[in-house]
Amino acid sequence: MTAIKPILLVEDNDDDEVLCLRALKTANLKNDIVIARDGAEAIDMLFGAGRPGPPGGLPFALILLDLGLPKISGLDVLKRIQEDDVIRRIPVVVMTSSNLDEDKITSYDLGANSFVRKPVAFGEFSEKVAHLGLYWLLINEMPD
Amino acid sequence: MARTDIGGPDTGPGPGVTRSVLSHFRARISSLGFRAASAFVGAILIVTLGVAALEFRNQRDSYLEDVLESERLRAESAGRDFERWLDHMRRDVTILSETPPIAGILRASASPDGVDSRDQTDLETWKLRLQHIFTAFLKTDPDYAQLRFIGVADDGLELVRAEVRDGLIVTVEGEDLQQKGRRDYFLDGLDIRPDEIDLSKITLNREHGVVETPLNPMLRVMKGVFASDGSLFGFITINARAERIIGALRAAASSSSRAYLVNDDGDFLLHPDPAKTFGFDLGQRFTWRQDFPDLPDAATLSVGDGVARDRQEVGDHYLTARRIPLSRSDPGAAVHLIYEMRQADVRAWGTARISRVTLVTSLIAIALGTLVMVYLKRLMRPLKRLSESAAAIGNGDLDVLLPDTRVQELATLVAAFRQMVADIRARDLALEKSNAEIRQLNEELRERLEASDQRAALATEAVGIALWDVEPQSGRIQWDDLSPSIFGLAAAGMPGDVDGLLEFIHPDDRANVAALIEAARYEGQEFAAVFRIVQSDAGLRYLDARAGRVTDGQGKLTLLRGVVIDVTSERQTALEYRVLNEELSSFAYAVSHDLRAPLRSMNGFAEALTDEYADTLDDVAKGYITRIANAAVRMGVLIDDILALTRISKTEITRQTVDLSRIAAEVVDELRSGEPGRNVTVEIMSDLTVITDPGMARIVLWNLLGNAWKYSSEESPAEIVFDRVMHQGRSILRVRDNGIGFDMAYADKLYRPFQRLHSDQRIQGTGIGLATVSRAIGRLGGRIAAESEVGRGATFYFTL
Repeated sequence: MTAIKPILLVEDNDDDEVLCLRALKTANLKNDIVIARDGAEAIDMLFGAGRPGPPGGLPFALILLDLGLPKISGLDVLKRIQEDDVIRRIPVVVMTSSNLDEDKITSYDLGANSFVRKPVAFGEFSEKVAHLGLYWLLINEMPD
Repeated sequence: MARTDIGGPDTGPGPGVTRSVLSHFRARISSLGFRAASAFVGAILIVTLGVAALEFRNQRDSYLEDVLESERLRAESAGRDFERWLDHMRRDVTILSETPPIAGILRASASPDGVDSRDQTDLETWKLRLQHIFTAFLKTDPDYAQLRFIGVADDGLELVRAEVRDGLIVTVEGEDLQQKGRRDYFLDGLDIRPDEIDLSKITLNREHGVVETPLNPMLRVMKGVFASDGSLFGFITINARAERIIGALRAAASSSSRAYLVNDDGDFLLHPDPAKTFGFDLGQRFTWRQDFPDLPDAATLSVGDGVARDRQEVGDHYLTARRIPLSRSDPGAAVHLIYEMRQADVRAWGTARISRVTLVTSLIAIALGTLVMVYLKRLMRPLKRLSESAAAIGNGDLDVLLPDTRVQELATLVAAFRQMVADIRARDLALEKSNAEIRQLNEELRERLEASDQRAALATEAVGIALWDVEPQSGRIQWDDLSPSIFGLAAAGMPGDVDGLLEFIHPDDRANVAALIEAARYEGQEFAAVFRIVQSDAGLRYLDARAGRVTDGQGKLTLLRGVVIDVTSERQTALEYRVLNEELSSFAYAVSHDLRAPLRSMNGFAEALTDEYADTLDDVAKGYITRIANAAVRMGVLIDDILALTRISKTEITRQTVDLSRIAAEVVDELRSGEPGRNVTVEIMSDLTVITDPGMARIVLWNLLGNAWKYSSEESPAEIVFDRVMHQGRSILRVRDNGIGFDMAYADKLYRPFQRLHSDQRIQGTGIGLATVSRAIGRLGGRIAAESEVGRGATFYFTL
């Protein structure tokens, strides 16, 4: 059993960050949560100096990616992830306010593993996050 | 009267007389009546001649047979008549010889006192009585010339004599009675037997030894009267004229045969040539042998007793002969009746007869034909006049007189014709009227056209439309006066040809325009292009240039002609519109994305507050916080709905067969899963398929069924029906519920966004659903209508 890898939460909105962390906590996940506040930070954490863990393996167990990000947009981050043969193996769940088909389609085309709309009602949101954690972190199996 | 000249040759009477006569004749022989009659007469003639020819061939020989047979019958009949005449005289002479006066005379003569011993009648009285009887006989038989009772005694003195003289019956008495004791016939008769009747030869009558003229052939019949002792007392004689009977024999001959009566000596008593008869009485004999030296004697020909010999052919003669005996006691005394024909005559006669029959038949046929022709002509007269009238009407003369006729069909025709003339007249009037109207319309049209031209000129000037012509071969361009202002150039600076024009065009557009002009000039395309022109004085301009094809009679392109419009401002507007649209899209995106984030925060932290500070917050505070959380959720819904509404206008419509029943079922399932506790009866008609856009159809059903679901929440069971009804031949979809319904007074507000007809807080809604439905249906080209009553549910009718 290897060490539990952290989750990368890419979220520029403070409120959403707090709510999301709260939801994750409610879901009783053991993973650490690393937060990137914009696309550039996210890329640094994936490919650059901010990258956690030993080199060679996967730095994160799951990426929760918002689309509307300052500096580098979520879709561009997604694109960058896809270009890397190793990093692309990390499941990416797009979490966004958008309900546009274009965004869904582009996300999937760029290799997103899930697309989750952030609902206004926290209860609902919390439930979704719990489901995601359950699936991607516990049920799903990943290479090291 | 308006005349419509329909052209063609003049059918009226022309000035040329010859031509007129000729054409009249042609018209006559081509007339229906003439043709019908000709056909009729021709048919009769052909049939007649055909039958006659056939008959002639088949019947020529049998005609000969018939003729000969009829000759034989004639001869037999004539001979029998002659014999009957003789018998008649024999009977008369017998009757006369046995009349009571004869017996009386005998008795009175035998008595010495000259008085009949039986009834005391004297001799003279008996003679007188016999005289009366003689007179009666002379009266009744026109052939009888003289009746006598001649006594043997007193040298053959005539006892009683009556005769016809000059047509009067006279009796001879006293001294006028002659003694005939020296006459041959008296002397010959002295040895007559009681049962014997003596017939004399037929000779010419002589008066006092001279032959009477005109010739009067006579025959004498004589019978003896015997006394009671058996001695010959005297003779009864009848002198009869043979002229009538001989004439009858002659008349019995046919046209081709000749009758001869020849006595035993071969002398002619009857001959076609009267001069050759009774030659022996007149001093020069004419005999059978002389006339027919190559034929047997008459007596030889007529061998047989009283029976006509069958016809005999001798040489080219046909002969029918009959021997008529004059005396029974003397077999030698006889006359011979001979009818003679020549074969050639018979044949000629037969031919003539057939010809005559044919001729007569033909004449009858012609006469009949003529009659028919005349009748047909009369019959056709109304028809002819009708056809003349028709020709006249054809020439536009509607005032012609139409014939009256009693022939039913023609009357019908004439009636129909009159109706037609009336119709034509009416139509003529209508035509004239409409012609006048058309003329007036034309005039108005022309005026309008002029006005329109002026207006067009003004309009092109006002709107800024330039006119241009391109000569396809040379490429030369003609511009109108307005063109320089469109191009923003001086008139002199306008390009004179296509190449010149291309230089003014923005380099990015140039190749495209060049290709299009090329296609228009050489490939028969219409020209239409929007391009930019670069000019020194007025900056960039967009021009929309079009040119249509002008062709000659053979379809060859002679000119490209069209308009050039300055569309710079439209282009700019379109550009602005596009920018605005894009802004709107990003706004929608922003709404979707950015406006929801604060709502999430509100809701999320409100939740966190009640969650984490449940111990320190009282119920009122918790209530407030719940309201904040709910409001945030509602606003989220509102934003989603608005987004959906705006998206309706942007979405592209693709039609396909859509199973509405299935979609409705899915929607209802979704609704049910959202509120599993509700008691709702949903009835969905199966197989409701329409051709429409599936996305739009889902939006419509989602909203309508969702409304029905929502507004029937107070009912248990709630009832929702989705089905289809027929209205005026069209099928209309229907969603019905038994919910709270709405007041129809506000029906016009139903489809406006944010309009809610319910203040009931228990029922949540943004007021956008029906606006979305209305917009979706509008995009699909459908219609929607609602029907409701407060508290009685609502029904939405719609088409997709």
